[in-house]
Amino acid sequence: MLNKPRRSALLLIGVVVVTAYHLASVFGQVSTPSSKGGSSVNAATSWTPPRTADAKPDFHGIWAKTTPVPLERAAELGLKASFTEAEAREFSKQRAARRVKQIEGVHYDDTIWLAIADDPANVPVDLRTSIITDPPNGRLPSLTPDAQKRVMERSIPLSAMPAEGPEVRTALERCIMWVHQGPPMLPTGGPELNYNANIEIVQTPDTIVLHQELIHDARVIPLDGRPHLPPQIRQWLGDSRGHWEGDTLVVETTNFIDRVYNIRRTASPSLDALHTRGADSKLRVIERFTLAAANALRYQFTVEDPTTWTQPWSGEYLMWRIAGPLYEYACSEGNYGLPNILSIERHRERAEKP
Amino acid sequence: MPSRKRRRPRLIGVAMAAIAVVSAVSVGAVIGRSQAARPSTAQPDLPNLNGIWQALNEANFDLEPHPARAAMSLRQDQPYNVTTNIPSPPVVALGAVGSVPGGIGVVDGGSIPYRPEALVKKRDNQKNWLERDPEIKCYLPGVPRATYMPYPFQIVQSPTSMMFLYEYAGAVRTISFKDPGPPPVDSWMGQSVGRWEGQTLVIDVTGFNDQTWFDRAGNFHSDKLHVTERYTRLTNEHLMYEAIIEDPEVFTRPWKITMPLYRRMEKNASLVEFRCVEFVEELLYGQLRKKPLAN
Repeated sequence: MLNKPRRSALLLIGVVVVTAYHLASVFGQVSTPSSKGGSSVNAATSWTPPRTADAKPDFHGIWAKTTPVPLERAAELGLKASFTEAEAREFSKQRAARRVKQIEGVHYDDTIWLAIADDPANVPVDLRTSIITDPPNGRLPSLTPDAQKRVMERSIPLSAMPAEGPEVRTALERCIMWVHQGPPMLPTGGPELNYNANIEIVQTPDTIVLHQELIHDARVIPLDGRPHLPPQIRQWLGDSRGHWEGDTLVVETTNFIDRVYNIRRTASPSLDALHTRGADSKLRVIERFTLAAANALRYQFTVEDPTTWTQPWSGEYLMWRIAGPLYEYACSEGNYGLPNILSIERHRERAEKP
Repeated sequence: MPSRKRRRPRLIGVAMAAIAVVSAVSVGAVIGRSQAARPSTAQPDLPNLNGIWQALNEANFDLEPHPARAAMSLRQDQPYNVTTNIPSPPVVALGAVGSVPGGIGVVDGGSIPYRPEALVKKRDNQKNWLERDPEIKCYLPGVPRATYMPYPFQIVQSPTSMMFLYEYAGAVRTISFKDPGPPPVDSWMGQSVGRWEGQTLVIDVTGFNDQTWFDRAGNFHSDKLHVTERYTRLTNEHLMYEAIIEDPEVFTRPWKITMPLYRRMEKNASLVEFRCVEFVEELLYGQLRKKPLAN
């Protein structure tokens, strides 16, 4: 169940353009899952990808980063990596039932994308029980003692945030960065945070652009072997360099910001460590993109930072081709959420004074 | 505008035919030498606009011809009863850094043909620049302003797609080469529909809101704005940029700006994150802090 503070923060975010109904039109067309478990699209089929003029797999198009697979496996599932189809259906049903329904009087209608995400006809069945593939229990590795301390200092539950100033609010509320932007691009937090979690890919022989609908952010990834940006330059999305390994695009990202920020406190300190960035000068993310079918892009990633996690961790899920278009997500331009959060807190303080 | 759009696909057909005949000869002669140095990533018969580009002029201060002055925002009162060139109090501390270089202007014919009531609003905008210029708040810049702000932008052009990526505020435009129909909703960056006229990339941009400006001098438009941009490759290192601006609610006739754009030539030239939303939080929300910061 979506807790209340998180939900209210979400609804308060000023959003200029939000509609995800275009997802529905093509979700129905993706290939059906295999019954063998694991990924629903089998990479070992004889299918050959469409190619660009320079003979690379052609990733052009718009892809949805939405998956019914949770980031972490439920602990009681142990090493069980795949559901049966019946189990997967039941899992999706239960998750949908836990969700809070649309409340009246808000300025956008999240029933649109929730309905899409809940409808088995739209969302392809993926039988895996977690996005995380390594460690083999499908769960995030534990933090180093140093990192544990750092993360707890840095990430504050939204409900406990005093709203003393913009900086203590989440990057999402501040319209600086959305949770699923990554890298790695993690569809965490359920569909309510996955809305408009779409990317558009433009590809040339020396550059790949990953244009994310939220928050109109484009990662321009050179493929020409140039070195990373100088170490003084640290960025929210890091600095990415790509190369091809056969038909797989491999992207390495470093130079993440090393300042202290709240992004979003989740149930997992280990995930917060990724979201809070900060001081993780060793953070390095490897992403691998492979066309798995005409309408499915396999996304695999590995996250390394020996100063934060006790071991590297990896995961994968399938992105699904959608018709698009992407809409302009002008966020800060319509952000009445953040000033409302701050001014409500100031009113509360004044009211509580004797 | 809708009728113009429907005609476009046929125009593309004509243009493509013309390109097939002309390009091999004339373009090869003009740009073939320098293009050899870079991977040809666009369609072989179309100019390759890939790269990082930047304007080098004073257009973002003021599109029209203007002398240098002390600041974008000048004191409104006149001490000693003489005309002064004194910055308004909030920008005094910037000294010469906050001053405005003169510029010969980029508007064909020199001045923007405002309707009389719109000219009043433009002057009012200029007087209230600090409160009103969307650039100050890190808002998306709109078109054509994104082109000539003092930040680089990158064109990524593949045979099937084209994107413009602006360093300022991470603004992005996807150029559609198929008619997407009328814009589904107004937006800051508009809806961009491209076509090739010979060797020139022509982009029709519509579907704007009325929130963006053309420069720091208060030049503005309504949501009826229609911008026709033309990008023509002069050499491997230069583009000529034109933008025809139509907005019958604000201007008496269409008008045009023209300027060259220059390739950023640095080895490993790269856009760098400019996430200015964070930079303007104190300006926009500082008064809502529990403990407002000391001046």
